[in-house]
Amino acid sequence: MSELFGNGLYYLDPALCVVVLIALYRAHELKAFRNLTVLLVLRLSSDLFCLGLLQIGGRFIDPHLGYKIYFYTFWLSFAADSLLSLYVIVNVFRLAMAPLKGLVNLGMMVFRWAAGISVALALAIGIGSHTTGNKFLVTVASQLQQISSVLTLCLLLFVCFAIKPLGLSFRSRIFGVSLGLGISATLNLVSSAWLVRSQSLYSLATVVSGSAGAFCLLTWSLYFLLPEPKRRIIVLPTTSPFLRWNQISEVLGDEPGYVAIAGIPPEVFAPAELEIMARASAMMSQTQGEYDPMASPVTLKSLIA
Amino acid sequence: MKNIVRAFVLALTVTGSAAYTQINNAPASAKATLTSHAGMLPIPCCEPDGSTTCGWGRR
Repeated sequence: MSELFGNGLYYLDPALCVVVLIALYRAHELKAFRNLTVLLVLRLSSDLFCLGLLQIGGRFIDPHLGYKIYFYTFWLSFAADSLLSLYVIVNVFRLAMAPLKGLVNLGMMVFRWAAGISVALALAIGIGSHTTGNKFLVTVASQLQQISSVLTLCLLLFVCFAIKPLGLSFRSRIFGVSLGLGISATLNLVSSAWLVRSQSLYSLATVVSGSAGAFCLLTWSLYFLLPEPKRRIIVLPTTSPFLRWNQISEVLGDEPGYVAIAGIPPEVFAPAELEIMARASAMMSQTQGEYDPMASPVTLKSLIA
Repeated sequence: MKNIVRAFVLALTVTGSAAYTQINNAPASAKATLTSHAGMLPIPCCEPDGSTTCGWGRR
């Protein structure tokens, strides 16, 4: 039963990828969601290649060689898929937070650290488990997938609960992409927990993970095929923490101004600057005692005159 | 509608967290193969240099 169902799903995946790509093109969103487009193209290519290999099976090439090629193609594309998913999350976060530039910078700084540490951790787990080349590849790819799933769920929670201050609605494509990723991430984590040392290519866990991909692609197709409501004007109260944090983070990392306080040789000044300073000094010494800065303030005009 | 969507998202997150905890509690030997693919292709869990090919060419 699972084999029969699974066979249908193998062909459904590339077909749905094509549908989403067409929907993205028709909605003129290829540029805005460029990371998603790259992810879909990569998935489509690896699907077509692996399906071709599965069709050939053991008929034209040695089964061991065929399985080896399939193994490496699958796991390398899997690792690339997980890394690209991280970029899709970044893309969605940037689009969702576009009106609040300061918070985008702050969020990106936090995300870079979180993603960097997570990727380093995935590599460390792969190295630390003293595995051979093949198992290392599987371990790192699995860890990357789990990390990207957890980050995806965090993003989905954020977009869902901050949807109003961001001027979005539940019919927005930004929410649709996050929802699709979230469904896929959850079902992948569930089927990963279920898949215990399966020694068959055609297990029920494959069907569950296949359904995750199908749900995700169907959600995306639906959101890109349906018209999107316009983003609302964002009106935030002056006491809104979003507004306050945006203002704070907008000035974070700005180049500060510098003031020279000592050790300045006279050569660094232009002759005109030296002349102004000399006149100012003379004027100050003349008016000392009777100088009232409010009555006759020293202005640049008076100094030049 | 808003509450239904929020409840669905919360349910997804809670399920995902529970599954992630389950994965981390699995024995170390099984962890390497405890993974699932977002696509629908069969997952190759056997060693490519091993004696078995996970049913390759059976179809």
